[in-house]
Amino acid sequence: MNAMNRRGFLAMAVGSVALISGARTISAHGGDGTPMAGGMHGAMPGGTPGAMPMGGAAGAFMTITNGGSVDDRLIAVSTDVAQVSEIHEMKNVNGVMMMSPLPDGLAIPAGQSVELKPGGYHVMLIGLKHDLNPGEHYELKVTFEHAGEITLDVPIFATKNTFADADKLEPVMVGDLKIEGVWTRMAPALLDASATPVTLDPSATPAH
Amino acid sequence: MRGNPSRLLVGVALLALVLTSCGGSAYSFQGGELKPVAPASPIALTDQHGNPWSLADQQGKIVFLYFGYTTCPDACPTTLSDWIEVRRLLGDKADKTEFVMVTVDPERDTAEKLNKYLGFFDPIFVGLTGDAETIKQLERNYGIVAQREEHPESATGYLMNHTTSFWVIDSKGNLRLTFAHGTDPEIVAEDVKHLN
Repeated sequence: MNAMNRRGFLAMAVGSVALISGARTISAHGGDGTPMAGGMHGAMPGGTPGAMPMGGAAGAFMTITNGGSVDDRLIAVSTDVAQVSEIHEMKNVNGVMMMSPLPDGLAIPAGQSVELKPGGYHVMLIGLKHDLNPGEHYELKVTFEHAGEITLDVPIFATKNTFADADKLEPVMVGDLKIEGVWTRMAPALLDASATPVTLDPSATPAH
Repeated sequence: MRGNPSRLLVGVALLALVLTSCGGSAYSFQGGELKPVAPASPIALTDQHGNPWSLADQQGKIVFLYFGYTTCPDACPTTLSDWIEVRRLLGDKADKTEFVMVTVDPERDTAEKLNKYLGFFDPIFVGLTGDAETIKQLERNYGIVAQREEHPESATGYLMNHTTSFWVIDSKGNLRLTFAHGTDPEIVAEDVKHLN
């Protein structure tokens, strides 16, 4: 067995172990059509399992600091630039990227800072309606269990480094929460000219 | 420079012998280096323009190989934008490179989708797709973990857990280097400058 095969086998074995040990069980349900706590905007698009809204995906990142004495939770996100927005966790386990939705949202414990960043938690925008180009902005509404909701101005950067080098927007406050370092990486919409955009079930849209 | 070619050849050979025996100018790769050097597994898939693409046809070019998919919001855009930087740092040598992403999600990633996705980062990047079984075999050959995880509670329907490191194949078709996800493009470019 030459070196490449040996190494490949080893990588696969290590990766397989990582997958098994890192497996998550998703127990949330959204089948009755009501909006799920945890960031689902609107109901699941109908159609075959595995089908997803037309359009590409992007991630939004930020740091949320809870200066209060009450634990809070990010429970919903929505934006007009994508058909669906969700809160996800990403974990790099031994070189394998594993991503999973957080249907119960993201805890922001009292007195703590939670970072949404590449390779970790992020807001996932699914079914982009147009390209997200560096230098542009879009609005993202975030809703917390206790602090309520606020609309964020999200700038788009080419890379994490160009974001890091850029002047930052002023932090915004909502209740006891401070939100800063908000950004998104550039992403293509992948729209098919002939595609019909998926329409969400209006009866499942959460009341704003 | 005109001169006796065989004398020049002997001179070069002697110089090379001196250098390698002293070990003084041997370059130490920063990425993972595969030894002994062995040919990379064959690849024959369809590119984003719907044309056949094979690794065998890339002799003479250094090939960067990554396994990703277009629904990936974080890892894949990171690698692709890193590659834009690597390409820039390589300067003239970039003409002798190919940057290739093979989809681990052939069910959703058609040639057309790959074309739009990669074209957004750099139209010179190559995207490959094909039938699921061929791609699965390729993943095995390259030691890539790629597993579909159903997520009916998510609008994505399913997500792909996948290895995020990438390979570099030299211009003779040998599998030479591997880099972890997020490796500084300067490090990648420096290593590749010392590859033939």
